[in-house]
Amino acid sequence: MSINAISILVLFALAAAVALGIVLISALLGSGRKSTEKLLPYECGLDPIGSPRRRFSVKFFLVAILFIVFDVEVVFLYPWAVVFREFKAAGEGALAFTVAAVFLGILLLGLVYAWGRGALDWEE
Amino acid sequence: MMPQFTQIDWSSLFNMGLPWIVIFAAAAIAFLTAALVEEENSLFTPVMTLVAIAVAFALSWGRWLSPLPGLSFGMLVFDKLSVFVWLMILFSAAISVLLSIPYLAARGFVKPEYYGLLLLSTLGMACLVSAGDLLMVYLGIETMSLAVYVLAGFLRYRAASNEAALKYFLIGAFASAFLLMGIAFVFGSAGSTNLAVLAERSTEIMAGEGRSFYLFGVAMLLIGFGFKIAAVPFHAWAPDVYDGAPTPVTVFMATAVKAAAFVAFLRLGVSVFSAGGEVWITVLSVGAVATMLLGNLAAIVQENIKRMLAYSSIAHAGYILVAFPSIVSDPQGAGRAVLFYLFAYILMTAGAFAVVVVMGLGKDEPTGISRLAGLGKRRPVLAATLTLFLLSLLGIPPTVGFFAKYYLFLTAVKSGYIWLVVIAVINSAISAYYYLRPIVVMYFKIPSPLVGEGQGEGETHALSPFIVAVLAITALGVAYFGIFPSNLLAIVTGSF
Repeated sequence: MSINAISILVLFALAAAVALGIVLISALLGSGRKSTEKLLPYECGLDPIGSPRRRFSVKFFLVAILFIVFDVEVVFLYPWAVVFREFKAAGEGALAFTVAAVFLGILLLGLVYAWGRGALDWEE
Repeated sequence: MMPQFTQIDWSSLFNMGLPWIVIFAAAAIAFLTAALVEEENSLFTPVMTLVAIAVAFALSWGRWLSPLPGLSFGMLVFDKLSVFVWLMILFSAAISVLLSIPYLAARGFVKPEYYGLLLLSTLGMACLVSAGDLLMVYLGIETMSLAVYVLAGFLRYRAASNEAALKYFLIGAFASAFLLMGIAFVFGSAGSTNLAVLAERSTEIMAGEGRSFYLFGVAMLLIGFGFKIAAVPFHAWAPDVYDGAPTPVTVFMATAVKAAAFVAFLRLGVSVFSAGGEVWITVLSVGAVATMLLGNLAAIVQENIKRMLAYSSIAHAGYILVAFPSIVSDPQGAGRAVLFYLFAYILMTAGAFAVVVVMGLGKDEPTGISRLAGLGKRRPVLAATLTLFLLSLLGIPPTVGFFAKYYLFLTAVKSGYIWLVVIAVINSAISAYYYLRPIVVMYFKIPSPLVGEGQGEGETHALSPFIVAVLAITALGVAYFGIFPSNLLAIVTGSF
């Protein structure tokens, strides 16, 4: 096992020890008395104003899903951009460009579909 | 460092992938139609889909006939096997499309996306059956399944359809995790995910110190595939999903998805698993016996013909698994028997489900077996075709189902698994009960309208020409290849 792997293991061990330790210490030192303030969900010192378990409009999920899809797919362009010069130097620039264009074309198709189906239309 | 990318012969890859591009273009048109056309003609997308499938079929058929040797691009392998299975998949997709037209029209739920998703799933299967690399196997399975998850829940106003989609999605995601884990372990012990490399080195790895990791990875892969082909003990999702999904989608799942998964399993079996020797044989035989027994016994008590066919599909997966232990000693024989069976199974299952589609052409889906009472009098031709398909599923001689079973069991006997075949034959005898029951109900039971027997709602409609086409093609196929099995055998022998 390399030295790097060991340092990661040490980090894991420390993190686990701190997390467990804090819980243990408060369990041992605490009085165990319950009060309203203690049982309230922690809200940075403010009183909670309602239950968080409310129903959201499905539009939020739609936007989130669209974001994930396009975001993750666009990330694939980074490695492409990194190696593009190498391809160009080897005289295969056109090929690399075509591949990326096809990929973007497919993405565009998805965008047109989402747009046409009204997924980007918040008001409706 | 120059990427390998440029060493690929792009023009021949384009040539080989042309049918895929046709399918993708059709899917793109379907989605664009959904997005851009306000009042679409309800027949445009399905007809366009059928045309695309026909073009892809013709192109691939030409490829299958050509004497050129198979081509390997590392990630993708285009050999006779992959082209042949791809043809089978296109055939099942076409059948599903034909059945979908009247089915969706009867529900007033005509959406172009439906056909687009179907085509994308077909594309995933293409990757799956041509996969030359474990990662491609995974990619193919994901593309195939993701589209089918949505299709299973396509009738979104039906609770059962939603339930089917959710169940299928959760179980499918679970299975994918197993597959990925297995791929990781195989890669860790073998240093490659390429099937050709693995096939060369697996014996050596099994003898070396990476043995336990390799076996663990292979076991994970087996579990993943077990879910996909609905083998016991990973079958529990199948009846609910088959029952809740729209019937044409059920046809697609029972034929195309199953065939694609089985062929990928076969390819993996030949290249990766068979080095496992004894372990592989034990696991697969136990799995085959359990799958057959559970599928057949559970099918007996079903009152709903869709669920009955779902359990029967589990049982058939068990029969196919009977040939898998033989891969170690006789890969060619086992492969051919499995291909023959899959072809026959597609024909008879698609036909049987087509009759279920007819039963459910009304608003709800009355698919209880008792609804069939008196069908022999009301619709003699429909009843006769259903009888033919059920007899073929049972494996009665002049149908293709008999020869399919015969070649499977013959392979197993030749490799010395006589006990396995004995159990399989006993199971076939058990299956006679539930396959013959609808026939008895159709011809000998007098329908009592009081409890809603007889008269499936769809029966008041005239038979749609699309369904007639499906019934005619599948019935002719079952009868033709039942009388001349050597023709199909010749095709299969040329493919593996």
